[in-house]
Amino acid sequence: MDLTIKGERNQHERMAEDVELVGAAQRNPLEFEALYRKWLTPVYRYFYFRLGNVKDAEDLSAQVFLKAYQDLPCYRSRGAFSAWLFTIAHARLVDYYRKNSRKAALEVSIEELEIPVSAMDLPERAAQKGEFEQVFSLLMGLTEKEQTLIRLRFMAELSYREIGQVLHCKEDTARKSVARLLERMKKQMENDHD
Amino acid sequence: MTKSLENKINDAVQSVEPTPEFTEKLWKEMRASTQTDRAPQRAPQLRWLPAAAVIALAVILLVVSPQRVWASLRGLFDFLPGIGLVQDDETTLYLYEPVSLEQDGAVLTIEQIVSDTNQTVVSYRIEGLPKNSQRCSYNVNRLRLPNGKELLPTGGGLSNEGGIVQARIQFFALPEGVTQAALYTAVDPDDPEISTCGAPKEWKVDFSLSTEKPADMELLPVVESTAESTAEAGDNDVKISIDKSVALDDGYILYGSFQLSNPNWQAAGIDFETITAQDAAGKEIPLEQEDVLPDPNGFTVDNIFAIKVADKDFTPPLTLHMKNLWINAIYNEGIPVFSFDAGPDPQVGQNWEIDKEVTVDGIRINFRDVEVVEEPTDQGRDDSLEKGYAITVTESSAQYFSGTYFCAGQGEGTPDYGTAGPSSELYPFIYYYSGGLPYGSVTCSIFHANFLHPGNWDIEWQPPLADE
Repeated sequence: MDLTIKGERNQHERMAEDVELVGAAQRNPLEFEALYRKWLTPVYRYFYFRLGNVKDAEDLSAQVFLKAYQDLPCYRSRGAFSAWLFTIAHARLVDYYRKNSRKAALEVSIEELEIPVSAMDLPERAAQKGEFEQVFSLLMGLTEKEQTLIRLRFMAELSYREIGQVLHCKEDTARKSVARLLERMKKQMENDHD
Repeated sequence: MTKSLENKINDAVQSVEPTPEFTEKLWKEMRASTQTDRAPQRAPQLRWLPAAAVIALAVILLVVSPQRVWASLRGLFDFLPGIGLVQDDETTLYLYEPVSLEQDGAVLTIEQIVSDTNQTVVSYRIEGLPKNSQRCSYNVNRLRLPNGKELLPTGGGLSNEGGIVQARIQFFALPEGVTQAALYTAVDPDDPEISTCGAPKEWKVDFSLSTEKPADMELLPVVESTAESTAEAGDNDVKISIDKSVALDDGYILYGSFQLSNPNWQAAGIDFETITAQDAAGKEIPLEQEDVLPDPNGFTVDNIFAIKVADKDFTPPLTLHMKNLWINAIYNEGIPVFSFDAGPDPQVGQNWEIDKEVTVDGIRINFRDVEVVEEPTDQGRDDSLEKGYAITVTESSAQYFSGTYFCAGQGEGTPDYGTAGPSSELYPFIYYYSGGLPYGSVTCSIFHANFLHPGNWDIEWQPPLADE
């Protein structure tokens, strides 16, 4: 089974790069821009694939980066920057859940899903749209914790080691959990197909 | 060929990107935020917080009490549009008339400066900038004193729209006896966009201040008010009062304070997401966050607040309704929340079920378990890794609750650093210990909390009559 995603291959280089970028940003706040541009998309995707709409994904992403920007001087680089950033992201999501508790436990219906224009523009856009909805639907069938694992792995493109830091579990536990989840999702996909 | 699930997920993921407009707008806001001092909408969360900082925070909060600050404000302040609260006495210095400097066709004009014992506020504007000046962000602002020293900004903000920069920057108070200085403003030399800024990169404008007020200066009176919230007395009661107000052309500014009955509660704050205002006819009146006067030492003063009522066309009285208040509590001695037997040598991964509900200051907190964790290994520290306790809180009765818990037991271990923020099943509260992990009979106590305190506070406020 090929579970390799873009971030995994270069995780050591990426983390080393983050250490340098964090140091530069701590010396000069304007240097934070490099970290911002590097991590905005993963953070945005992490929220988007939970909330299913652009506005909330943008709002929460903004909160995360404003918070990280403000707190960076106090950040102590004993763990991966990504783990720190996604800890903030998760805190914002928890906050959002609490404030939106009446939104039917934040269930996102496929009908209400804001499918990105880029996906719709592709030549096989009908198939793309279908696949997009299928992925979202499979995600929504998972528990909150399971969704978080998948989003950290695929949307945030974190390595298993980084996921372990975010979720305070061993790297191997994160790896096995994701593998088990994917197996289950595949079975679900096959059942849906049948 | 059928696509694998992983490929489907990856394709779906790759199709989602934040828009370039959002990306640029947010970065612009973040850069601007370096120069703003607006009170945070929520009390600050403590993250990666050394234990000593909790104590330091307590000291700071005790030093800067609202009673002291408001007492010093009584009857002494006026409101100057464009500047804010101004101490109206013989020691306050003013810029008598605007000062301008021209560079490459652009003109920087210092419109107003007021310097009192609390702060120096400078309002300036730059006009005539070339078209390619949108990326010129004059983020570096200093007051250069005759002795060569510089005063740093304590807050304020600036905008650059349509080639016009408008700034209002707050600095520390001028040293006693100093009446001359220079405003220095520049584009940060390390700004990667500096090459695209076609306007002058730096400005230095000399100015002199005197106690003489400008002839056309319109100081608005700050009127005393006696509006108070109607809340039941109790251990966790918060009384909110509107102490002063200023009538503007387009609304009012209300200055108020909190009186906290719980001695552990160091600071309260308005939850601007839930505060509402209605007039006597039931019309919703918009509210905005407004600057409060900073402490002369540069600290944000707790337990006072300022709200702008952004409308004047309403039927009095105005009723402010608050559902939540931000509370920052410090428990100096710690309040024990649970105990467990960690044994003589707790190991990483070892877990103890707690399953206990505890009520702290009226907020119910459910503790699920505690687990031994170790510092992340990735950064290659030379010394041995510290162990910590990860405490899982499953839920609390507050809309938001963030606690800092320290554990004590046998051994020499003391709290070193850790995370804070709203903990959950996925994100337990973790604190690492130097000198060894406490073992044996371990008791964990809460030392700090930041939470939304629920309630129903109504404050009926009557705008002052025009001749008051």
